Formats: sequence, C-alpha cells, structure tokens
Amino acid sequence: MSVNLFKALDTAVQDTLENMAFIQVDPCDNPLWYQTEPFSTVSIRILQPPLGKLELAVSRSLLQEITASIYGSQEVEITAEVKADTLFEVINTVAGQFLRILASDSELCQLDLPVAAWSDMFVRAGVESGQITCCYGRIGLYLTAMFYPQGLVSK
Amino acid sequence: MLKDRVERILVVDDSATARLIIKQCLEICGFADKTFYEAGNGVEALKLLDEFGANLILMDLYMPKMDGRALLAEIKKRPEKPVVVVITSAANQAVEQELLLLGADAIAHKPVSPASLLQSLEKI
Repeated sequence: MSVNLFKALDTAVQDTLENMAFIQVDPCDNPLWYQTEPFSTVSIRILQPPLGKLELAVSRSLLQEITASIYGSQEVEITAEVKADTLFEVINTVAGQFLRILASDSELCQLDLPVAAWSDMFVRAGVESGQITCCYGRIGLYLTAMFYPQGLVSK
Repeated sequence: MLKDRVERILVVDDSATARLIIKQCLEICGFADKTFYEAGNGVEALKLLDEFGANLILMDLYMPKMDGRALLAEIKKRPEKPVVVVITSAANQAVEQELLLLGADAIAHKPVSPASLLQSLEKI
C-alpha cells in the first residue's frame, strides 16, 4: 500500500493539535508569515526506521495559544520554559503519529528526543527532493519532513 | 475494576505538558480522587517508587537518563507489581508487542484523550 506522505503529515498535525489543544488549523494563506512573525523552532530525528527528521516552526502567537489551551484550567504561569516544553511535546507527538502511519507493522519505530535548534528550513523548503512541507494558519505553523534518500519505507 | 484497586498513581514523562495532559485525562476517567506523583525520567520514577510506591504507573517511552524500556525492566524486578501503561506517540504493532513482552500491561497512543486512555485501561 502506498502512503501519501503529505496526507500522513497533515493527519499527524491535525490530530495532534486537535487532541492536545482543541485547536483546528487550516492550510496557510500566507506561506511567508515567518518573514514578519517571531517564531520558535524544534526538530526531531526518526531513528528507526531511519527515515530522516521533522522540523517544526510555530509563530510565538500560535504557540502561546496552544500552550494556553492546554494549561487553561491550571494555575500555572505560562513562561518561556512552559511554551518550549509544549513545543517539544507537539513535535514528539506529530512525529510519532507520522511514523505510525508510515512504518509497516513489523518495523520497530524509534524517535530521538526533540531538540530546539535553528534551521534553514525556510530556505530549503520545497527546493530539495525527498522533502515535504505543510503550512498552516494565517500566522502559524510550518512543518517540514526530510527523508534520507535511502530511508523511505512505504507501508 | 482497576479504579478500585488504585490509590497512588505515578506519571512519568520528560514533558511537564504531557504529564499534565495524562493527569487531566485520568481525572476525567474517574481517577480524580487518587494521589498523583510525577517524575521526569526513569531515575526520578524509581526514587518516587521507593519512597511512596504506586499501584498504577503511566510512562513515556523516550526520556533522558533512563527511558521507558529500562524503567519497565526495573519495575518488573520489584515485588509490588504495579500496573504499567506505556503512553507513546510512536507505538506501532511491532513496538506494542515488544513492550507487552517487556511487561507492560497496556499501551496508549499520544495524543492521549480520555476516551483512548479509558479504552487502554479497560483492557487490563
């Protein structure tokens, strides 16, 4: 069975944000939002099967919204640390969902721990082969999956 | 029912956000009156187990210092035999089988919801 990679990534993002934060995101109507909005980035490597890695950029306003939605009923100050923790958990969950869709039932799946790191994802987006990108929201969320040339395994 | 057998619950995840979500789901599932403890990795979890014990443990798989697999192995050496649910985002059939062989009582997927968690707990 072949898997539509874009659809898999889209499903992972939508399910994660809806279940974690009750937030629905629409496809982006301004793919260049990152040129004017401050944002945070995080990445995670997929170790088994050795597919590649995911990089996520989220505008700070959307990250604030996601974090506030999760912590809404708690008497917790939403600090930079709390938002960073939320961002890490978002990409961890998206990557796991994405992997579950892509990997066959018999393949052991393993993720690395997320890391906050600046990347040149916007420069490379849509340019290199073996790469897919999803963009959401007016000011929002930008997700790139990069695949090692030999790594892609279809279900 | 599991609910009646549980007094102390240990939630182990390196993300405070994930621990909060898991705890909120458990409260909705009827565990609100239980005593909760939280740990950020396997090492902290074992210290809390030594100090307070737990009847139900919900743990992440990927954590720094001591991950879920190592923690599961340590818990299974103990005489108390708490119920262990592994909550992870990247558990396909192969990973689930491996974790069950290691001694997990149930697996739940992230993003976890009250309904999905309840479904996993009802299998125990």
